[in-house]
Amino acid sequence: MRAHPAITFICLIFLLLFFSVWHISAGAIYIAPLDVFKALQSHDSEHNFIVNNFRLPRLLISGLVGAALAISGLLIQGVIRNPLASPDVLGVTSGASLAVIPLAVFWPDAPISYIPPAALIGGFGATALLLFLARHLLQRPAAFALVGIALAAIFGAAIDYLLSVNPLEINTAMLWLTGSVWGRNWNHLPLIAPWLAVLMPLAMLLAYRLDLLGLGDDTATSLGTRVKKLRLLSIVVAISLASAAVSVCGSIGFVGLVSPHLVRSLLGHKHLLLIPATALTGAILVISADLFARILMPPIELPAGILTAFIGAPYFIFLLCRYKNW
Amino acid sequence: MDIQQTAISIDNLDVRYATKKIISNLELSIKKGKITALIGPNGCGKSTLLKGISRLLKPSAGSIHLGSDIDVLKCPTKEIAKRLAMLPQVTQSPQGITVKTLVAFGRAPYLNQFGMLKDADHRQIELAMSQAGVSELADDYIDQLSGGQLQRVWIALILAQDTDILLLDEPTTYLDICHQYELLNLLSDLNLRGKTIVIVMHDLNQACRYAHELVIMQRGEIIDIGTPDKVFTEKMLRDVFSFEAIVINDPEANTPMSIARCQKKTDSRAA
Repeated sequence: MRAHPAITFICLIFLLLFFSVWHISAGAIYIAPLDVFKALQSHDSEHNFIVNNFRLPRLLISGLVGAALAISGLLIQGVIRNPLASPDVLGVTSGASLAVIPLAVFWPDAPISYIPPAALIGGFGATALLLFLARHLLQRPAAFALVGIALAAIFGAAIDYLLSVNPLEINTAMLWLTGSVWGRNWNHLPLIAPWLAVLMPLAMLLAYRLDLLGLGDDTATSLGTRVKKLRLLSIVVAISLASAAVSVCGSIGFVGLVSPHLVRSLLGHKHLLLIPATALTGAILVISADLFARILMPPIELPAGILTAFIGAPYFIFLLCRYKNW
Repeated sequence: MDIQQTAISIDNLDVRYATKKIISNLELSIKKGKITALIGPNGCGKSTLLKGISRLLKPSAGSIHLGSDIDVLKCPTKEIAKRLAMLPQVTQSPQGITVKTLVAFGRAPYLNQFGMLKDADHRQIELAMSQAGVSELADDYIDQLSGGQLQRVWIALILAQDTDILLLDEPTTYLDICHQYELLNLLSDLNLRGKTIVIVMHDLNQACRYAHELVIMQRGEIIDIGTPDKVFTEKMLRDVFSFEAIVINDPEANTPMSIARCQKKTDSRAA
C-alpha cells in the first residue's frame, strides 16, 4: 500500500522547505531560521545582504539544478525503459562538461551566456554518439548503461587532459566540474530558470503518453501514440534539462538516477505525478547535499557533487546487482 | 464481395523487416463480424501481416482500408485506434498498478493530453471488465495475477478501446490448455456481440473450431482462404506445413480437425 499522493507531495514540500531554511541559515555567519524569514521579507533586516545576495540565489540554483537533473533522469529512464539510465551515467553530463571546459580554459573571459549553448552542444553530441554506438543494445539496459559509462570515462579523460595541459585555470574549472554551487549568484539564475520554466511544463504535456509507453511500444502504438516522435521529443527535453544544469554548476552526479527511483516507489507509474515529485526530490537532494557539504567540516566547503556521489554511487551499485539478469 | 461486408481490405501490401521483404504484393479482405484466423508455419509472415495491418510495422507499399473509407496508413493514428485494437503477442505491464488502471489505458485514443477519464470512459471500462470477466479483479495489482487472468485483463484493455475490430497475435501462447479454451470462448462471445476478430493462431484444431475463415499463409503469401470445411485438408497440411496428418470431423464442434500420422507406420511400411 502506498500513501495517498497528496500526503507524499505534502511531505516532499515540507522537506524542501525544511532544508531550504536550514540551507540559508547555516554557514560562517549563522542566521536563526526566524531571522531568515525576516530577511526575506524586509530589506532593513541585518541579514538581508547575506541572505539576498549570497545564500538565496545559491539555494535557488541548487534547487533548480536538482529539479532539472531529476526530471531529465525520469524522462530518460522512461523512454529507453532502462532503470540504470540517467544523464550522468550515460555520459551526457560529461559530454556537456567537455564542451564547456575549453571555454573556461581558453577563453576565461567569455560571457557566461556562452556556457549553455556549449553545454547543449556537448550534451546532444554525447547522446548522439551513445545512441549510435549502442543502437543495438537498447533492449539490454545494463549493456547500454555500460557503453554510457565508458563514454563518460572517455569524456572525463579528455577533460583531465585539457586541465593538465592548462594548469593555470585548473581551480575554477575543477570547482565547476565536481558539481559545486559555490559562489553562484543571481547572474547564474537565467542559465537554468528559463529552461526549467519551459521544459518542465512540456514534460508534463508528454506525461500521459509516457505512461502509455510503459505498456510497450506495440501497445502504445496501437493505442494511438506516435512512439518515435514521443521518444525523440522526450530525449530532447531530457538532454536539454541536463545540459542546462551542467552549464550552471558542472555535473552533479546521481541525482538524475536516484530521484526517479525514489518517487516511483512512492507514487507508482503516473508521470503526471512523477514529474513534479521527482523535481521536488531532486531539489531536496541537491539542496541538502550542498548544505551538508558546507557544514560537515567548516570552513572547508566540499562540492555538492561529491556528497551526491556518496549517496548515489552505492545505490547505483545496488541497482546493477539487482538487475544483473537483464 | 460486397464492400459493406468487408471490415479490412488490403491491397498490394509489402512489409519489410529491416531490408528483408517478408510480405509482398498481398491482397486480402477480412469479413465483417467474423472470426478470421491466420495460420501457417513459422516464419510465414502471419504475425508480420497482423503488425502491418495494425501499423506496428510500416508497410513499404500498398494500402490498408477499414470499411470502405478509412486509410490506415494516412488517417491520424489516434482515429485508427478508435476503430482497430491490437493485442501483441508479448505484452508488457508496468509493475504496481491495478487491473482497473491497466484497463483504463484502453481509453487512451479518446482522452486529452493529460488522460483525464470522464464518466463515459468509466462506464466503458466497467463494461469491458465485465465482458472479459475481470470485474472482480478490478482493484488487484497486476503483479499478483495468474497468466490466464492477466491475458483476460489485456482483453479487457482492448475492449475498453471500443473498436469494431480486434487483432490478436497468438493470444493463447503462454496459457495452459484450460485457459486457452477459456480465452477462445471469450473471443467467440465477443464475436457474437458483433466484433470482427482477426487472430494469429498456432493450434490448427483450435483455429478450425473457432474461426469462420482460415487464411493460410506460406512464405509471405496467401495460399488459400475459406471456411475450415473447405480449406483444411490433408493435402494443404502436407503442402503448407509439411505435416502428415489425417483430417477428421471434430465430434464436439463438427468442424475439421487434424491428427498426426504415426511415425512408426511409415517406418514399418519401409521395412
